[in-house]
Amino acid sequence: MLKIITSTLILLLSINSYSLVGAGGYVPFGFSTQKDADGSRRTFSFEPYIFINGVLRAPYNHIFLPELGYVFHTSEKYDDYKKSTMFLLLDLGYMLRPNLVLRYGVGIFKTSISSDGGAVTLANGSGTSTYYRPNESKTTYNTTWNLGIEKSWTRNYATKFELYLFEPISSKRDISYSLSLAYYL
Amino acid sequence: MYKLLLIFLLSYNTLGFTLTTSPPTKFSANEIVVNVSSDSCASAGMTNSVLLDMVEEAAEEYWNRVTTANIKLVRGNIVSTTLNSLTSVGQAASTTSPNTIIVGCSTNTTLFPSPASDSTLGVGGIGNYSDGPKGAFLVNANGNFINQGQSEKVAVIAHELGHALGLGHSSDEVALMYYSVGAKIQERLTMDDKDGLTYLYPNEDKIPASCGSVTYNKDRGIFSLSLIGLLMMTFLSLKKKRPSLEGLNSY
Repeated sequence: MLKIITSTLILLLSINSYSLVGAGGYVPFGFSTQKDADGSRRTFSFEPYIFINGVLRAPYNHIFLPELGYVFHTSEKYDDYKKSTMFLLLDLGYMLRPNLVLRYGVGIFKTSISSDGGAVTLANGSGTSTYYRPNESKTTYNTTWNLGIEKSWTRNYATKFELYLFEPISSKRDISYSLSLAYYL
Repeated sequence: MYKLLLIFLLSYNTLGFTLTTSPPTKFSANEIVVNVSSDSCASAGMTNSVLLDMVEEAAEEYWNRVTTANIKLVRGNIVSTTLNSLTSVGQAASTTSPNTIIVGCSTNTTLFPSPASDSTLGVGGIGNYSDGPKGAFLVNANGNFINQGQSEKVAVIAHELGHALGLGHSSDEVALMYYSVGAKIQERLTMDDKDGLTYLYPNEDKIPASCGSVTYNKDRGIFSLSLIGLLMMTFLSLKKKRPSLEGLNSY
């Protein structure tokens, strides 16, 4: 289903002149994830990401904003394993002002983690033990509810801040967010 | 010589989470009940019910918050099981039911010889048995666990729960799964811990919905083709109704 939606989005973007591309930073679960030994969180640990966004007029002063993005996980302290995140957002935008849009909608995030395998010896209490790196790729899917604001500065440039509430009706719900700069094609 | 040393260091250090076994040993259910043994925990400075409370807190504050992982630890009960005579965490795991974790306090000096193991606060692990995967961890009631503060005790229990879920140690010094508590404040999981749990228990082969879940059926038949055709027709009709350039430029 994800492949069908993605293919459809690419088709949509190819037939619609009104699209935009952008880049920015994405913080996965910044409020709930520890970064340093003093207990501080990853609040500002932005991971670079790119996206392409379609724009279609919808009724009631709305626009439809499908978006496809890819996150490069580069800020991890230890990055022996590979991790990537791809997401598809199906947002609606309510035009608060001609240059200010409130975005809301749903999304699907696909995160893959992989490594090359192998045994490794690590400290364990007063001695050492053998542990194992992951040796295959695993993919996890999450749905989100999204809420964001987008401000256009010129005819071509806009900035966007968006919150993504992961698994919104689950007890495991968590928040990621992004800040980005968009360019209208 | 320098190159040899570098190669040795690179091959010795792993950079990120690890697993206890390869291929990974993991639970086959999504809800794992954690029970506490009826063995006395007095030597560890607590009652069994306090240990059960701390196990629940460790589960809720750490592992049950990983939104990308499809596993949940559930508070169980104090069960009539004796773990104190057992000399390995594998033996302890064998006493519990499949897809459950058993927790207890141990003063067994074969498992925790004193003073050699006084700095070892606990041991945890998971094993595959003939009737299914089972996990266990034992608090070292001979050692320094009793001298830890409340939040450190919960973090230690969360660390051992991580082993019972199938995770090995991490070389990330900030990670909960780092081998030593040290002087760090461990209030949450790091991304490394979360990635490890996500790798073991991903939400895979399905697209979780906001209400229930939808199975991802790799159907490549006539239904998929019809759906694509319908979507293409929809978008082509949208193209005809494309809004004016002026309207969108003002956006």
